[in-house]
Amino acid sequence: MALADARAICPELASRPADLVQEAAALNALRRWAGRYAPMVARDGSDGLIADITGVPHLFGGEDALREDLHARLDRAGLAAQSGIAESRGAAHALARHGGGILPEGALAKGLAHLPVTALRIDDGTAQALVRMGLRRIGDLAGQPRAPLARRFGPGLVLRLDQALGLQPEPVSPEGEPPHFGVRMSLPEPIGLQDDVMAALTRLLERLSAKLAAQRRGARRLRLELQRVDRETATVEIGLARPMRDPGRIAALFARGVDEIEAGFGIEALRLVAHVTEAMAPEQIGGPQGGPSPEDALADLFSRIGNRLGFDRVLRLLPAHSSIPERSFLVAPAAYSTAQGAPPRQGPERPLVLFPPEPALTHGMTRPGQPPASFRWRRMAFTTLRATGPERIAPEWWFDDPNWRTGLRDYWRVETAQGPRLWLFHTPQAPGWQVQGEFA
Amino acid sequence: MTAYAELCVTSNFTFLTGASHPEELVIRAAELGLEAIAITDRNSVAGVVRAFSALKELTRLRDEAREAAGPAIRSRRVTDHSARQEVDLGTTDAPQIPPDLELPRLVTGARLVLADSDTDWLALPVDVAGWSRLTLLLSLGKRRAEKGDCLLHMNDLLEACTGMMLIALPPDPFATRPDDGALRRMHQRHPGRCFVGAAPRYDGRDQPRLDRLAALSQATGLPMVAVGDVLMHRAARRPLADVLTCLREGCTIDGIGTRRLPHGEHRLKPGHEMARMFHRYPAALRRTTEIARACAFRLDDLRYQYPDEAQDGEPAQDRLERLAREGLHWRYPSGPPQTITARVDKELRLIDDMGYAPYFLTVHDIVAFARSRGILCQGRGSAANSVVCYLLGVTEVPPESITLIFERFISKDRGEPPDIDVDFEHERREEVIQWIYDRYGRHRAGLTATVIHFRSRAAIREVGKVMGLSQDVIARLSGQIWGHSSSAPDDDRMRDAGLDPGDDRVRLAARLVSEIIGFPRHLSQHVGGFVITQGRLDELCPIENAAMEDRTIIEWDKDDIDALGLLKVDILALGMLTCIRKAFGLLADHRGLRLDLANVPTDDTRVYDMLCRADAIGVFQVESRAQLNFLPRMQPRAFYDLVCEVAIVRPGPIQGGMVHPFINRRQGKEKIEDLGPAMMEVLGRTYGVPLFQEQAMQIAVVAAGFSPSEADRLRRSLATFKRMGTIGAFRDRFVSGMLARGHAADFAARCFAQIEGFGSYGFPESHAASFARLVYVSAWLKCHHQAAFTCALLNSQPMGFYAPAQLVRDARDRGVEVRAVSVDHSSWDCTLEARPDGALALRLGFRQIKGLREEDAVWIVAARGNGYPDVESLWRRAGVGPDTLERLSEADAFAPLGLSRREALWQARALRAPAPLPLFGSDGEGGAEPQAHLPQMTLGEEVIEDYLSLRLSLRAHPVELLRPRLEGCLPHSILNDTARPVQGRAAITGLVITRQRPGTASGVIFLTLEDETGSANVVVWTKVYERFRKAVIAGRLLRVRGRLQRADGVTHLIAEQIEDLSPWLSQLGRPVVIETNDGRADETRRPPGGSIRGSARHPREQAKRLFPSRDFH
Amino acid sequence: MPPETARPASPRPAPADPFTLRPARVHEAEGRGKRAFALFQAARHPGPVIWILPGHLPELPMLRGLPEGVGPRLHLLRPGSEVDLLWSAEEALRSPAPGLVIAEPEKELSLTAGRRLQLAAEGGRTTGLMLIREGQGSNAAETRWRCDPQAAQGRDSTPQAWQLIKNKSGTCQDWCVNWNGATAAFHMVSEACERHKPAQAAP
Repeated sequence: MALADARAICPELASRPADLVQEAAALNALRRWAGRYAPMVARDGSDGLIADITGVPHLFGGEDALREDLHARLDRAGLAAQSGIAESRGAAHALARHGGGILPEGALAKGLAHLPVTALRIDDGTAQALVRMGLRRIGDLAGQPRAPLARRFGPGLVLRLDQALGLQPEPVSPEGEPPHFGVRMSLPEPIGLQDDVMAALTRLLERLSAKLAAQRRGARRLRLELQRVDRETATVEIGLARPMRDPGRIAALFARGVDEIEAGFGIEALRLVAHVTEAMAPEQIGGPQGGPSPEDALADLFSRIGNRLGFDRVLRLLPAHSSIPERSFLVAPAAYSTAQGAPPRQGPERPLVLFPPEPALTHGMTRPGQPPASFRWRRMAFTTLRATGPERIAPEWWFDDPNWRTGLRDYWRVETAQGPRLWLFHTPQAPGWQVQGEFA
Repeated sequence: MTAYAELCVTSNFTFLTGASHPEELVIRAAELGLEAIAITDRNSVAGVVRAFSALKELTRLRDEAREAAGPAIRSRRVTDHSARQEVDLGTTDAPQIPPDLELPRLVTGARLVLADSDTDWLALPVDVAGWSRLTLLLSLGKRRAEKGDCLLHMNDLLEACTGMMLIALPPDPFATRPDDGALRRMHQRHPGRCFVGAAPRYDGRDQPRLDRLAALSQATGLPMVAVGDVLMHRAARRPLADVLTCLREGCTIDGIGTRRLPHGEHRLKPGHEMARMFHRYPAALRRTTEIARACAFRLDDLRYQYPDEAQDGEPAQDRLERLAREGLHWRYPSGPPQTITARVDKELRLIDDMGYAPYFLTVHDIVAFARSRGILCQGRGSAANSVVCYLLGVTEVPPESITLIFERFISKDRGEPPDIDVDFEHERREEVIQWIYDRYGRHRAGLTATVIHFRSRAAIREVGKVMGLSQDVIARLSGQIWGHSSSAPDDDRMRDAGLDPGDDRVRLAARLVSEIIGFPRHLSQHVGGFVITQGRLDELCPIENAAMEDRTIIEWDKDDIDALGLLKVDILALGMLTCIRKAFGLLADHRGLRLDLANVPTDDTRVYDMLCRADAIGVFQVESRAQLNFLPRMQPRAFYDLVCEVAIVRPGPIQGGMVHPFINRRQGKEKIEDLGPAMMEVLGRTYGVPLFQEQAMQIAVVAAGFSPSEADRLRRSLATFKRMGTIGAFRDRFVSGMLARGHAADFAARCFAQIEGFGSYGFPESHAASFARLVYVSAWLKCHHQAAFTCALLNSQPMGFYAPAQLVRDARDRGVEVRAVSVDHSSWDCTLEARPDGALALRLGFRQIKGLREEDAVWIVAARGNGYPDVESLWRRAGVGPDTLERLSEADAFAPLGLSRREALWQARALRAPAPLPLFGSDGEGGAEPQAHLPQMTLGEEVIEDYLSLRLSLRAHPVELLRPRLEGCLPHSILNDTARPVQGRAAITGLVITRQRPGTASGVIFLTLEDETGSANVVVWTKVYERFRKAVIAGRLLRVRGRLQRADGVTHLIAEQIEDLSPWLSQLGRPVVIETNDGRADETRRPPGGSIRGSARHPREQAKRLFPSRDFH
Repeated sequence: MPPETARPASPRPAPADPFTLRPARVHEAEGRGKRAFALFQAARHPGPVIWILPGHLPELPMLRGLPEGVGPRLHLLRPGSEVDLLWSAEEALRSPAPGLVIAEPEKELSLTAGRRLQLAAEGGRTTGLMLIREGQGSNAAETRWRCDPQAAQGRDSTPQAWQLIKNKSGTCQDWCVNWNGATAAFHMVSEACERHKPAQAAP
């Protein structure tokens, strides 16, 4: 059903776009947690987990108790879940999605008989075709001769049927953990000197860097946690202007933060996490002559400056598509953007420097349609020597920009007798002259 | 004031570019006092006629203002100063034209955009020859390109552009170097006629730009001329222009970036503003008026020559007279009555005077051709209103049976071209069209265009997308539009769609939607209007390729053609003619009857009895809900009653509120008011109520003091008046004219409303008579040969008002045996089979099966022999693929073989190989398969399967199966039982067959429900609709409680409560098929952000697919 | 694309003309035309250009108005205080990465600050240009320029008066050039610039 149709039926319907990535992440977290019930837990589709609990239930006091424990814990976590326990993976899958429950041993065929054929993990087309024949439930299928079934619906159906009925084995295979970039170190003796901390940090960085290299990733943000003897934790966090995993260069960026740490009675453990990472190709460690490459040098510089001033104060200019002067370019953090070729210098001339409009005081008469013959701006008097224009720019009508509420602007390049070449505009709807830029 | 002529204007006929209608541009040019305005669309002249008509209308207004011919006639707004103030505020009213205003001249031309040069050329013809060369050139470019495109090269221009003023529009000299070589070559070829156009851009560099262009002009010798490069009539259209840019470029408004218009300066400007811009080049400004004056060509200079239609040396008039004489003989074997011969002579004299004989001959020849091919056809239209047409065999309505008003036929002083439409069978009209192309050649014959305009739905969808509204909001907004509405969504609608009408963006979007409605979007082909010429048609108007293969169209639509006085023959398609021809064919085969439209027995009382009972499902025109309700009140007993019946249930009379007076007077409940002898002559035969278009026009003349030509112009130019906003002036004049002659204000207002309604859907009497003829013939067929009639209807689908299920049901109710689709008996079409008792049974054809191809059906019939023993034999003998076999199985077409649906499906499913294997048994060894056990179907399941495959069931009605659960619901038959009427309140349940919201009934919705006993009419008032909106719009099975209302034998249920029971339907048969899936199967093909449970279907969705209704707007 | 690869593939050495700044040194410019002069220098210096602009200044370089090729190479630092500004300038100069570091200190440069910057420039072999207020320069600067836009006499001319008013390793001199703000090319009007041309009336 289309969302709009659903809305027509139920106007109060709340809807959000599905966030598949988040959902998968959440399911993955749940999968790790479910490790408490079985050594082998795997994802089952995008909305389920399957665990091989062979030999486990007695630890919880039986299958019923295990299932109760599971639901109780999930309930407490605020999760609504359905579960089923059966002899075969297929049967458990079907059961969990159709009411849940526990199928006692040897009751597979009977227990599944009333479930719809769609519970068999078959594609829509096959399911539809089966239903068209009147074969609606698994029970309707189980009794059929296999050969005619396979001939009509392919071997997949028979395989799924047999897997559900436990006639074909289907193991649960575990999944690998996603990489986690954290390293820690406990010290036999508490340390307090900055050099000692830096030395420990360097060793941690080397290990972390190896981890990152193995996954072809580079750190973008790092956090160093220092555990003091008095159980207090001090944290130093740094950002990097681009993904990096060179221990030496990263250590240098930590130096300032570590310097500011109060060691107190000493530090007994360190933990270093790269909590934001990005893909990073394996080459490019170090420049051609041993020193860092120019790119790395600039990145290092920006990391250093960014960590002190904030990365939002290290900027670059990016072109934007607008004929409104102040929106014709973006000022973006350099660490989170890539340079783009500047727009070609075509069209009307633009000033070197732009600033928010400042009134030009005209004192008296101005000729309509012409810039003022003289005006004052920033406490200086100017005489117009020559003016080119007007370039007429109207506001972007679909976008309410408070600065443009005065309506369209006529821009003029005004050469003053005093030297400066200024960008003035006039707003006919709110008559007045403003200076907004300066040319070379 | 500085004299200035704007020579470069892009109207909105440069689709998705220009932001103003040609009419608006012309009006604005007049307001600004421009000396001339040119309409120069991109490789097109599609908008020039609109501008031309607009200017004509302005001239009329101005002349009227000048003459000030009397207080009753003069338009108020011209004389009354305070009224003008009011008009200033309104947007819909007429432009203000002071009497002393010099109107601009209209220069027609085109902006030629070349494939091999970035310099555009404005081509402005100076005379008719120049115009012809321009249209030839455009035709050349259009015929070699895809539909809607035009491919022209510099060399084409060099060759073709004599007789035109040529203004080069070089690209911006600051961006690229203009190609002065091209300019020089053009200048060499057309000395003295070439100019360089200089358009200011308001980007701060205009003066240096003009300097550069002046230098270019110096260097090439082409004088510089000022142009405005106009895109809109006022700067306020800038947002719309940007939206159009987005539509063109396929981006949203937030992504338009620098492609937007930076300012609104591409608007029409007065001379003094242009003078300021060109203060250093006054000659460039002066030259505009010189060029405009040199372009003396006016569209009414076009000398249109109709084909002479002389044959074998026999001049047209002689031939026409000879054919008419012959007609007198065969139409009146016993000698024509005196009145007829006198009338024929009068008509022929007039035709001779006007030189219209060729036109009648063209129609005659087309009709004769169709007859020779056995294609049924029938003429109608104003000129069909003649004895001559009857004698030529163009119409079938005997002139005795209706009133023929001679003035309506053709009038001398109007110079109006005659107009005949001919309806053909819809399935075979293409043959006629291609014959016309063959006979006259594509350079002489072309279909007229239809301008496709933005209407509410498209406007909301497209503007909504541009403005960044989300898909589902757009879907909801446009989903609320019922039918072809042309109004913007109001605040309530927007709130309904979850939008805040106070939001700036939403308000903007709503404004833009209302602005863009009515904008032309593209040209399409007219349903069948042909323009034919003696000389080359492409010297008159550009010809382009249509979307359909083998069709060529001209750039003008029917209003344009009317405005220019071009003759058009309408070759229209009518499904009922196909049906009647097929029914005639069946009767010839099975009953040995040789019938045609002319010899169906007339005045058969049984036919009228049947119609009086409103037993008219399938009958042409009168089968609609409204007509069915009307029939018992109308009680038609004669042919003329049918003529009235056809004419009255139409927007014109309905808008004019004429229906009730008519029916009351006919039933004698109301006295016929005496309107005086003059009016009674006009209205006497229709009880003093105007029903027909010509009656309304005559009222304008007789009662409102219009001259005949004014009245006619009023009708013909309604479209222009509406676009120009001058309709109000006519209304004033009409109403005050009638008041002055002593008629009631209310009656006058209604008469005018009717004329407005007639503008698009009016029926002249002869028109109605032609249709009434088909009503009678189809009713006769239904009355006497129901089986053949239903069979023909089914074979002519899609057409008419009802779905096959209702047609079949109607046939069965009337005692026709209907047999199921069978692989051993059916053909593609439905057929008739003789029963032992001599009656005919209707065998459903394979065409009823959803998704079956005609080709497969033909093979099945061809390879049938003595029948098929099993499913596999169809596969082997007829080579029918497994998919088709499954479709046949699902339609239960193997039943005669003793195979149930599921068994047949099971067998078909086994045949998965693409081609039959050569030898026995699918597994080679011929070993028998183990038997499968398939559960048997219940009746409910069978019915649902029938509906799924055939959209009808011969077994049972779904409601019948649900009846035990429908306690307290009356069967429809009891409801409609006139013998024992039920009173008060009642509840009924039924499948929704039709849903109607007539535009004329102020939001009331009419539902037709059907149960196993019959159908019932439900009326849903707006208030109830608002409450039960979901059920009314989406429900398939409804339970309605309400009040019964009975009038003239028709029972309505006025709904008070509506309940949607659609989910019950899906419980009859297959359960909701897929409840969930494990996600694994479709993990990889899940659309990003799409639905997760793709196949889970709501029962309602299922019901929607199973029991589709026909929704009319 | 990593940001730094926007640097031209083969950096052209700056032409040896009087306006060539001595590399690995810190220079100073003052006057109304100092920013134009800085951007002129930016166009002549290959590699990343870092412009350190106090965070509260309203002025921003306008991308579409910058000399060709400067836009993608230009990086802005907007420190919130004078201390941060000087620290950033020093860091930037000490790094070998930038081709030119432009900074706009708002207070008079102390001798220590000037020295530190000079040392940093030498260490990183990076050229610096301080845009200072009149008379607030530092003794440590290699050169100091006084830059003022001049009223143009004819059309299409953008005269600038560039005076070298301090030079540690050479003489001082005045120039009048036409520089249109588009490329690194300029047109020398005369060796000694005439000042204060008679003003023309507006057209």
